[in-house]
Amino acid sequence: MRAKDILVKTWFKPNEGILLAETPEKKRLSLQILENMAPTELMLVALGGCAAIDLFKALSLRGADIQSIEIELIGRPVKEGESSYIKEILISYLITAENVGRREVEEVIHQSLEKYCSIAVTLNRSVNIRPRLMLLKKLSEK
Amino acid sequence: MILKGWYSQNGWKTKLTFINQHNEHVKLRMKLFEGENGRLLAIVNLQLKPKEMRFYNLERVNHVKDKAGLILIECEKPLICTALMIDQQDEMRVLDYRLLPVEDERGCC
Repeated sequence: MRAKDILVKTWFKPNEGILLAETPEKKRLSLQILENMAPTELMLVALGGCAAIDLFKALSLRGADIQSIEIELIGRPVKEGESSYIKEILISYLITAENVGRREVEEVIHQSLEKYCSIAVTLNRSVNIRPRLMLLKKLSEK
Repeated sequence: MILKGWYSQNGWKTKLTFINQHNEHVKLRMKLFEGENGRLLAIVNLQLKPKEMRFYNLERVNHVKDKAGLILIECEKPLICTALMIDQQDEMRVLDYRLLPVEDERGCC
């Protein structure tokens, strides 16, 4: 089944060194080139953001009490002729939560990256996404 | 799939029935909480055989003795699960209900 298209517009203003993005609902993003994040970093932010939101939803449904989810992403670029692209992404999780065990969190992370996190599912077709490390801190151990 | 319901071993006895309609084994993880938003008291992992109907009495779980609260059941495939709650003072007073699936909308958008 085909889902609804996602539409965004981007503008680059070379004189001001600004990159703008806007959705039809007028949600905007403005980036100062060289000062803010680069597009490749934004791709990792998109993956980390989507993975965190999805993990939060899935663990909350399972009764976990989540205080924070920290995700660190490392993109591993390779050069092939003239082009450079990201071949592998290492994704590390640090979760502070109660009412959930390590094994369950690991299961949910794998499900999320393979099936539910839209950005991971999209990137998986060309990039190898590897969950690298998972630390689970109990709320009482803060 | 996640099913949600309530149990009580505090003045009541709760018996669960699981029905696996599939022709393969189905694993499930049952979590029992203290109250609606309380701590996790017990996790029970079960594996149902193909087409198996299994009864599970919560008296078997020591951690929920004299407690009442939320049950969440996570299963790989859709299952039927019902709960029968019996009043210990008057065994003619019973509550029989089916655990309902909670919405499992995943993804970031």
